[in-house]
Amino acid sequence: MKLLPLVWTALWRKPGQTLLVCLAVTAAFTLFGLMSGLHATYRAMVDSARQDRLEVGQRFPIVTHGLRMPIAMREQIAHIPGVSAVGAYDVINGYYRDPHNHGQIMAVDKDMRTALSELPLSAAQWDALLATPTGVLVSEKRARQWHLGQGDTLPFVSQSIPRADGSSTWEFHVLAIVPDDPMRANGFILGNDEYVNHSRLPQDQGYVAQFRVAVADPAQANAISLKIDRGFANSGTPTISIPDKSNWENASRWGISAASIAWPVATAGLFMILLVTANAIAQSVRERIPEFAVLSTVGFRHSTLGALVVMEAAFPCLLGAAVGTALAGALTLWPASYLPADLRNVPKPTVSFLVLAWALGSAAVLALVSAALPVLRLKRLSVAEALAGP
Amino acid sequence: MTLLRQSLALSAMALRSLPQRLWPSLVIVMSMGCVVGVLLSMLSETAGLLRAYETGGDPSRAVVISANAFGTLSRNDVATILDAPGIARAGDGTPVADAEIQMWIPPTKGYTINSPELRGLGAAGLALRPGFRIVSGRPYRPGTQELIVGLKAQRAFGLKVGDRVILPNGEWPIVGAFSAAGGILEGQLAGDAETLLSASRISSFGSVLVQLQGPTAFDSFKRWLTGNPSLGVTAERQSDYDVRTANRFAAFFTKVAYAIGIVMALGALFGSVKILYATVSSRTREIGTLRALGYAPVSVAASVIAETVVLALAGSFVGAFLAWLLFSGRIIADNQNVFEATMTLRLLLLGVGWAAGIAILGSLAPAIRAARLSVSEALRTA
Repeated sequence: MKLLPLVWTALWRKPGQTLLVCLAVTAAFTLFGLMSGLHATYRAMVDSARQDRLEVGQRFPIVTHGLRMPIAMREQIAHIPGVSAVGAYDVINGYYRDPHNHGQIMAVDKDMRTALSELPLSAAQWDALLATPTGVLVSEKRARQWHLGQGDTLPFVSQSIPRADGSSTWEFHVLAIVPDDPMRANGFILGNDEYVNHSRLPQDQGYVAQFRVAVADPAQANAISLKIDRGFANSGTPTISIPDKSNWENASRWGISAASIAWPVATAGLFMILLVTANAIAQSVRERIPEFAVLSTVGFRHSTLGALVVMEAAFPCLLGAAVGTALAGALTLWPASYLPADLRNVPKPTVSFLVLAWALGSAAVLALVSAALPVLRLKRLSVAEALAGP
Repeated sequence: MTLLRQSLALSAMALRSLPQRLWPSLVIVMSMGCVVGVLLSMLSETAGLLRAYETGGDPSRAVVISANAFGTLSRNDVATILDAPGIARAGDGTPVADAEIQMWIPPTKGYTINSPELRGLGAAGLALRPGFRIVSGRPYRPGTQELIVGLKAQRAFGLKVGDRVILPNGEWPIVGAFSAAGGILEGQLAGDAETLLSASRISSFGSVLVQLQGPTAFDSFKRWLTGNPSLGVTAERQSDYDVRTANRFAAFFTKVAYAIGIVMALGALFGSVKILYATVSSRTREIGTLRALGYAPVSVAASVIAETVVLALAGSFVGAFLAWLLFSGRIIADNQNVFEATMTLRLLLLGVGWAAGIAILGSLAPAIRAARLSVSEALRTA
């Protein structure tokens, strides 16, 4: 404790330079906070993804043909032992009012109520959705982005599913605004597949995009997925069934993705800042050699001098780490509607206390490494020469 | 004129004295290297993607697709499209055009999603891709369930000639490997479109690639197609189509890269300002002497900026070199495309520009401080 005034004086010797080092460290830790927060978000998504849900889709999808699974397959899947529910859904890709307001509507059938039970919907909301052909449930995030409220009309323009009447606009009605699901970073809109199916071209009716299968025992998920795929291997529609968790693991590992660069970028930022802090503390010690010599003469031990240097190095590191992490946290509160359209799809980094703890820990390591050489230098300090002056 | 000569002389002097300030100078070099290195390694991925798409683009070829997002082209549609005016004809009078489909291939092992796409091509398909060359094995035979693999797909997914791929209607052997001038096709597998259609029990195609008589034939070709009410298709020059497709994948990541680059640049900026203030104050006596000798304040300021810019440029080359060393040529497979990260001259210049920009911004304030040092006080400082 008695060292604090000494450290404080050292820091205020050149306040401008101390401030600049703090700012540089802050920038690096803002990046660190955002990147490790992004990593945490992906991690949390993979962790909370369900092992007891399978997505069953076409094994050999033709790019231009879209996803088409005959709805009749549902009965066959439902008969496999261990399967507790088979939901079916379609996805309409399109936009609301302006092509930049791109989004999708997931049109679900009645069994999705069980297969997609993790969505935070009340029984009454499910009832309303399944009872109202043109009804949609809009999550809070999406509702904010598109300024939608309960009772609003939602005209949705889509080329992805041709309508029998030749129009490309789907008229939906907002039944309710519902809570968000952490797995759907961009919010979601649920529609009614019975209506969507009936509005399609006659030859397209009776198909859905995918099935979502609820499995009673998560440990059986892999075995059941193989069973489904083997069963349809020689049918007109071979399937590929993937547990939700595996899907998320894959998604966070894709070649050109924000998740895969998070750690390398955070590390590069910290390395850059290590050079700056190391240089700053080395310069500060070099300029105050006579001062340290005096301290040594009046009885300060080498270890105490070392502690002084480490504390002086730690101050901008820890302060910058705390402010930078806070800034990263503040940036994630930035409303998505002010972001460039492409960036709205990045999952929001989770700047948690764990991220702060990591940041402070890294800052402490940064301070120790920065101070290492100057401390060694002080250890070899020859008091007589230092006091003799330059 | 004198000012310029003075500035040059002082800059040269400052640079010669750099070894005395070795560590601070190295810190500036390395932090610029970090900024440029991180920025360019990310951008080399999108540059590689864009290059792979641009390689195949030829303004005298056109892609015809359904006007609907998930629309298909029936055999009748294809026959009508081949009647359009402006299509080049082969010696025997047949139109130089090819109806194709593209299929996602399921993962061979476990649930790993990364897997190549398969392009089903017709008889003219390979001829429409200049630069296509079989490098080992042989081409697939029309009418048989055989595949050839692009060199990049081979590297990315470890597929070899002789391997078998599970496809509709059984396992298809890979009978050859091909290169395609580094284009996006090189990251895919290719096989016979008709065989793939019948194996998948479907009858419609995804797109038609057409060789036009020349780039100018496109407008009337497109007018004819879009004016045909029975068709419901749209046409685009292959060059435009490829650039549009590439940007659809690259735009997002490019923005992420720049956002990260800006935050890193801020860190480097503050760090450099700090170091430069320290440098100026350690050179106080030298600068005072120069001013006393008659060097203008502007020249002193210019020399500080010039020194920083030189350091930053060195740093940008270090960063670009590291990005090239670590990333260039690395195979990247995202969910639809396989390509090589590529360091380009344009990226190098971009890195140099960023570093120079940070250097100039960062050295302005210290340079002004240097220029405004009072001669008498500076000389008194020891």
